[in-house]
Amino acid sequence: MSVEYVKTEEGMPPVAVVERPRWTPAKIVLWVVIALIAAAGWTMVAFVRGEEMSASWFVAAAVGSYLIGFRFYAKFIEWKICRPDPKRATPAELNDNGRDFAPTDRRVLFGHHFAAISGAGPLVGPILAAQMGYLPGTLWIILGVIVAGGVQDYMVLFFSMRRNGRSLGQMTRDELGRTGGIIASLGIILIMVILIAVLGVVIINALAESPWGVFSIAMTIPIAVFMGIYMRYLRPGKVIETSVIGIVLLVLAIIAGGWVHNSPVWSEFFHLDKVTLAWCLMIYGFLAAVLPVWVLLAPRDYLSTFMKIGTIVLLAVGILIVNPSVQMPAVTEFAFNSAGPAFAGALFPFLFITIACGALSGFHALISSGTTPKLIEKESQARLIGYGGMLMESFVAIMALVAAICLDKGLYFAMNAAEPLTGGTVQGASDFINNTLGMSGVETSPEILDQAARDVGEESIVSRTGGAPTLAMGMAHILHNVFGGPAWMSFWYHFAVMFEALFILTTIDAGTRVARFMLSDALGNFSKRFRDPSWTPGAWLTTAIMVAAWGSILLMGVTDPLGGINTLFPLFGISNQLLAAIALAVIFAIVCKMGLAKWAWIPGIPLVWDLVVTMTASWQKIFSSDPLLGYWAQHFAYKDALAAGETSLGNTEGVEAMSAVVRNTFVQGTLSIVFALLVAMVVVMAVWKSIEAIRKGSLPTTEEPFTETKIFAPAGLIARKPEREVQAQWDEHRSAGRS
Amino acid sequence: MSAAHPLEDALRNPWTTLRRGGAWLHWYLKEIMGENAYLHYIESYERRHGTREGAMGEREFWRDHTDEQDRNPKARCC
Repeated sequence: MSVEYVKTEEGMPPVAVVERPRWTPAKIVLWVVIALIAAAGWTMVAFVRGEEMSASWFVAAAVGSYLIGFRFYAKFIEWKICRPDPKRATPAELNDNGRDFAPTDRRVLFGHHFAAISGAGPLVGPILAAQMGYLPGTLWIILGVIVAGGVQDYMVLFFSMRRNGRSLGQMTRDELGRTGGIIASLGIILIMVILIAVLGVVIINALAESPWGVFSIAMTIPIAVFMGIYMRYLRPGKVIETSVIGIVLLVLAIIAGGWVHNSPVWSEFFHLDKVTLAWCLMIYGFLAAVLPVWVLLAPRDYLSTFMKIGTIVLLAVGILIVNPSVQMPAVTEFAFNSAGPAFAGALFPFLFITIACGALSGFHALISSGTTPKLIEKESQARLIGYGGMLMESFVAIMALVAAICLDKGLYFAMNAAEPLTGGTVQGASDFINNTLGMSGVETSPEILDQAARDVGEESIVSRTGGAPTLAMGMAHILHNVFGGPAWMSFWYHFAVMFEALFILTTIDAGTRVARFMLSDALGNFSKRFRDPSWTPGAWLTTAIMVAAWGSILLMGVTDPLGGINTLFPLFGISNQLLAAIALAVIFAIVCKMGLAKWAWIPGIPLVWDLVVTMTASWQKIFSSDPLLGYWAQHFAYKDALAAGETSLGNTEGVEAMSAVVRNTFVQGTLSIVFALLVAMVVVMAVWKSIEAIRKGSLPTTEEPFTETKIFAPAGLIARKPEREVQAQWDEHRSAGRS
Repeated sequence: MSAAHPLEDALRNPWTTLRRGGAWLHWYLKEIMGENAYLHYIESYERRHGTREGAMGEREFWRDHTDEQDRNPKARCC
């Protein structure tokens, strides 16, 4: 091992320690063991059939592969492209203002970054994809994060850090020109609207006709307001104390939900249908976006972070202790046809659309640029935070998948088949599963489904689509074995629904606010007053526009006669993956501009793969003649049927419902076309720039000029011995300066 | 400063290790939840101005810290 101490100022301790580790026998043994663990996990998951398989093999395959990806592939990218400079100061050091720019401990920043990128997405997608069996989802989540998702997050973070923490939209404008920037920003706003709407559909599907759920989620509003007042006027800065009070009240609200469920009067009062809930959500979203943040948004964010950490740890512990056995087969027939009840479309390309977050998520590029890069202490830490943070999210996705595939298959399909298929009754659902579903080895009965609903304190669990209820059911099945026994199943179910609702509502609050700012920024080009965020009429107007935009799609989703999730979720996945295409295209162009075209395949592979997947999916959604799949095929089938004077088609009964399908498919089809076109334009511009750069060898990029660093921080998660020694020198230096 | 490997120290004195681990977890939770924001602000202020004079008081800081999110909202991911 050779150790080099890097100094930038005479008389000061070193600012970095550069180690060139050698392979010692102990290290070789360690990595061989890790590789063997991964290989054992993969062998069990991929090849062994016909026996009871336990969930821990998934953990082995995932964790082993992550460690190898992080140590070898991410390191390779660091070497060949990013090349962190130990002497270079980061934006956090240069522009330190104790606020959005502030050098932050790497372990803390890892936590913040992870909390910002992970939400309901990695929990929902894998659950829906479980209809294809466990193998396709597992392969994509683990390999996808190593080759695509981690690469995108790490490189966007690194390049933004070299550009003073500029946002993805600004970077696109700087690297690809003004037009590219405008198109990318437009795409980002549209994608946010879709995202909020689909998350809204997910949470409404979990809450509709569930007095218990509606009551406990409704209680989060007074709880948050109380926390807000407490922190503003009584105990400013006592974040943990306030959060603990909030969590205790939250648990009480969940328990009280059980009383509401059992009381005929109150359960009637909180028994709301989907449309009412959609209006409640819109009113709530509007208020949350215009009220001062301390009232609602900030305290909710604390609750949400607390719950996020707590629940993920709880689920991990639950899976490891209970070690449930897998019920779903490795691959089902729905991987090869478009008849899957949870969402339509075969494995290629729809698996890669449905599981977005957890393998590759374009939305992360908005956090990896703009927010996190302004807080990093050292360039060398970007790999841990960007790539490592994404690996964590992927692990969350694997746990969600495990929770779904360990459920009884009949129960899984009864919950995830849309209402037109099951009729929303236990009899209809068991008829559908036993006779129509067409998957061997899956059966259920009305008694089983009734019992399952009673176990978790719900009136019915049939057609609870959207993933969130299935995850809650899976978590309840796992956690009641560790904590509380069968009597606690309903508590754990509603606990899980609550924490998903918290995530989603936080995303909706914050998303509406961010989208409002983007819109007023754009409108500021026409009328300067919109630029002033404290101008109330402007704030109200822009918020109303954004809420109307996602609200109309939300209403469309919850009233969709075909079942909102299976028509809208692909649009959500496509838009998220198209955002990834924009991010990867920008990275690709930057790598070429740096004169590193030789290594452009590193972002190039995920870019090409992502484009093939999203463009095929968009193509099928736009042009497929299969009405199960294509929005326009559906549109014209229903339009023709209406013109011919028919009053029903397939499972859709009545002229009104048929007109709704015509309208919905028109909107969905149009959005698919717009998204695909916007992204195609950005990609073409990126390729154009890259070709120009390759011809000339390199092009000037927009990196900030080099400034020497004056601070020290360890490079990796765990400080090494020479780093601890240097840290001690700095501590000594500081205390000497003070006395 | 001890030159021994931290693992060695940890195994030699399990109670101290447990206490230190608990303290570390408490510190980490505070950091993640943002409870130490004022502390970091004061440190940063001192770094930049060479003194703590003129920095915001704790109450004032927290008010401003929350209101900052009104002016500069941050996205949360899906």
